[in-house]
Amino acid sequence: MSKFITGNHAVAEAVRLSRPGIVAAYPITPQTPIYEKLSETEASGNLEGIMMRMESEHSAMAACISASLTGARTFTATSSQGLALMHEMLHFAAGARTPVVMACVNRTLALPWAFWSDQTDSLSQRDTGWIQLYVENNQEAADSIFQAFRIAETVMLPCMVVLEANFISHFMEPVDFPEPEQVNRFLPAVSLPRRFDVENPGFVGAVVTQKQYRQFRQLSHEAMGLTLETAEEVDREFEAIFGRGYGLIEAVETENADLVLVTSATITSTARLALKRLRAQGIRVGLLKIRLFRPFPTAAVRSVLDPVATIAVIDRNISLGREGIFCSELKAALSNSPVRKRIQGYLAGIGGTDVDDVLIEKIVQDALNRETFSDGPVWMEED
Amino acid sequence: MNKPLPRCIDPESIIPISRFTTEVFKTGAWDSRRPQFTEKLSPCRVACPAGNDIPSAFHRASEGDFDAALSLFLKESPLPGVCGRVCYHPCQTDCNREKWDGTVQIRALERSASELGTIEPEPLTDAGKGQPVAVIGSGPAGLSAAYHLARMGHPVTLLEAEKKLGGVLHTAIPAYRLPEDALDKDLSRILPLIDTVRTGVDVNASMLRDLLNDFRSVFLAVGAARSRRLEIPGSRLPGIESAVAFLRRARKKQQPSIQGSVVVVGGGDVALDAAISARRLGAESVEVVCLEQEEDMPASDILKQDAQKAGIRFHFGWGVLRFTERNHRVSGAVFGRCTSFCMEQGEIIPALDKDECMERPADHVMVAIGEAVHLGPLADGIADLPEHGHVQTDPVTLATGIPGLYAGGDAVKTPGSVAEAIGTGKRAAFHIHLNLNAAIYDRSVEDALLADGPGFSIEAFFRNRSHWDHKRMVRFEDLNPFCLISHPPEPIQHRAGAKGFEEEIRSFSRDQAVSEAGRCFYCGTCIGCERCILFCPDLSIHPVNGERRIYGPSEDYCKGCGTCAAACIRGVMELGESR
Repeated sequence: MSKFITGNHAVAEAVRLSRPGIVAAYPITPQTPIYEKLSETEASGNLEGIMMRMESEHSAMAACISASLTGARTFTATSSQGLALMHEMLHFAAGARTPVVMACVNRTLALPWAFWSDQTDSLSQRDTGWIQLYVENNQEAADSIFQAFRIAETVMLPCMVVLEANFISHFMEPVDFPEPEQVNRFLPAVSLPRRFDVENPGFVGAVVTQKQYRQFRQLSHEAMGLTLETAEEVDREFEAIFGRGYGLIEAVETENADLVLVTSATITSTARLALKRLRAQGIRVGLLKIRLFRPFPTAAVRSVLDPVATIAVIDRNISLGREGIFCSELKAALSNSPVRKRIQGYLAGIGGTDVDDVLIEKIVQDALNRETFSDGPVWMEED
Repeated sequence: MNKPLPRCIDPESIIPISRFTTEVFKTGAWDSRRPQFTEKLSPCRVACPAGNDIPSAFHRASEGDFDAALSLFLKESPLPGVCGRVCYHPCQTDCNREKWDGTVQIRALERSASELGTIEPEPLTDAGKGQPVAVIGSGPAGLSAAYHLARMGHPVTLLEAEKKLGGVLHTAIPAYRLPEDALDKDLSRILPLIDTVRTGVDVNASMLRDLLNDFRSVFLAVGAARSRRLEIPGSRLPGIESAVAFLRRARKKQQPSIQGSVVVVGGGDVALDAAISARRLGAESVEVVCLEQEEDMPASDILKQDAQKAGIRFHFGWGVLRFTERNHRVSGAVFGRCTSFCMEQGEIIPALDKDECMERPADHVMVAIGEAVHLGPLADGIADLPEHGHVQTDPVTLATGIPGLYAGGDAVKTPGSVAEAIGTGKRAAFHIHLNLNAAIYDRSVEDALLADGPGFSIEAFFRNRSHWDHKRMVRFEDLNPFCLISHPPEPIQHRAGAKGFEEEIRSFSRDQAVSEAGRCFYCGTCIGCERCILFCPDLSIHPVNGERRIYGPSEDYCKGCGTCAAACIRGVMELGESR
């Protein structure tokens, strides 16, 4: 069934179909419609689980962790300051190996105070041990929720589905929703170990030795490695059932390209349009969309970009004092690549400004005509 | 066939989950300080001349167990019914709850324990068997000594000059404060322990010599029965009598009738008891005239308030110069302004200004300028015993210069309170016993002294209380009552009208007593609330040797954070010194 729906409501609907036992959340712009929709759904008796209206995001995550340890399927959603407040508990969730699923609606971090799209909030949580999926449109947001539960519950790691403020959260698009039976087939009833069990009490916050700590970190890292395979398998299975697949990355016309443009999230869909126009002009430009950011799909990225000499990366985020974060990650992933690269980072859409096809074409032209590639980013100005 | 799970997602391997214990981590190695469980003294107990274990008794009362509460009082004093009515309750003055929402009604609760509890006193030891002791006088000091001597196994012979036991309790305290049946109830617990009781026996010197021969020790507690007389013009006129004699008449079934105006000379408890009694017996006006200024008046505050309520007028700073006469009877008194006074051999010598005079008319005059000790024939020919004045004793043991003879109560120190007399009786009994049986004990009175004394606990001597520092008192600052709900004291109900000699103050109901006892902080006494266990973040506080109400830290796991000490309401758990 297709619905003309905002990204936030698409996420809420996907969550309802996923049948979590616990939704624990706290409202924050621009995530609030997810909270409200799930709250309404519960109030109307259509949410299978319990909605916990928490007093803070920190508590919301704590509730999710505890519930997950009892074997429940858990979901929360937040943005920006809420995510920052949750930071401590994000480490707990990953360390406790709880497959909590979260929708993170990207929003600028204060100060200055603003409500626009910017990926720095979620990217700041890069090292918390969460799986991160960056989605391109409302359909992918909904589909990624289903996939996220499957992936997380298989590898026992928490997973963040990241959607951008306004461009996804509040923009309406037609979204196809599967029938409940189809969802149940793809995402069966939860079957997680009951690590918290009143019949068999246990404690997970115990102090460990130095060596034990290292061993647990190593296991978590191995689980991240397993996530790469799992996410691919899950996506393939999803595509077989629903006819839509996304991959860990997506390469568009990258073979024999003189330049590959690397993007994430909503900028990708605009880039697809720019790409068509540039190709029509005879410019051999390809596109690489990075969907899975953690674990970073290094092998998949290299299989596409190893032969490519010139790369332009667009970031709607910045690690101040360095450059766009996707750009840094990409450079690191390609450092063992046999073909020498020239990689230029571009900052576009920071603070939620519009990145239209003209701006993207401008970036491609700049990269193609550039004599020297700078180690720092190029700030693109909006019209 | 199921593929084995990769280890990195095997629920059993991926997180440290403890199903049994985390005791492998000896977090106790991190500590620098350790909590210490030490029960201490409450201010009320330190203030109590009888040494009553008030917090322990009230804890039991708060649970509705008045037998246990009474039993705790009876461990230190045989007169809870008396003290629960007439004590000047220094305990309440010092009560830590005063700084919170009002003092605990300790005196009224002691009375409740006496009324609601039905339990016999317990013996302390039978070591005194075969060591008979005689007690002369059955006032509070004599009764206390006889009672504790009997509890230590001694066959006790109790001698009383009056027909009835009780001494001052029987003869001098008005019945509206201490009714006959209340005294009888306390006596009924004491008398079964006493070997021989002889009333109507006025002991003289030759009998005392016989007693000293026949008994291993003798305790002298004859009180201060002789009223001091005023030797001034008109002091022998009819209509003038000692307040003690008047109070004694007021205790009789045939009460005297008092009409007209009454002047009471004196400012102590006896003066006020006489003044209030006179008012109740019909006096139209009662005036109390004393040497002292208001703030120095020796009477207890409770009686002062009662006197004011009874409409009695006070004249402070006057000394009587002479009495006036009409129709061969007293008609009034002339007072001179008291400019100063000094004490000489226990007598007050005032300096009166004859130029500043005040005359008061009086149909009756009651003189209450103190009671003197007068052994008279009892001291006849016995060196070391004065015919007049206080008996000299060792301040600690209460032994006189005569071997085997001990003395206490008002005979040793006046003015004294009932509670102080009970305390000296207990102390004398204890030292008599210890003197006769020194060899069998490895403890001394020091082990039972409460704070710096003179109060001591005979129970503590015989039953060593572990984890108890009988030298330290818990102050309000040592408590943590901030989690408790404020609850004002139960009101003390007075009988309406305040006429006649029926008991004026009503008892608490059982519910009131339970509720009031529940207000007690139980300062320094563990009641097993187990907040220390509950609040310990490391589950490191446990009952010591499995014994409830003694708690200690686990050596291996206590990090010395002090949460248990902070959580303790009563100042029992505290953080020890740095290690």
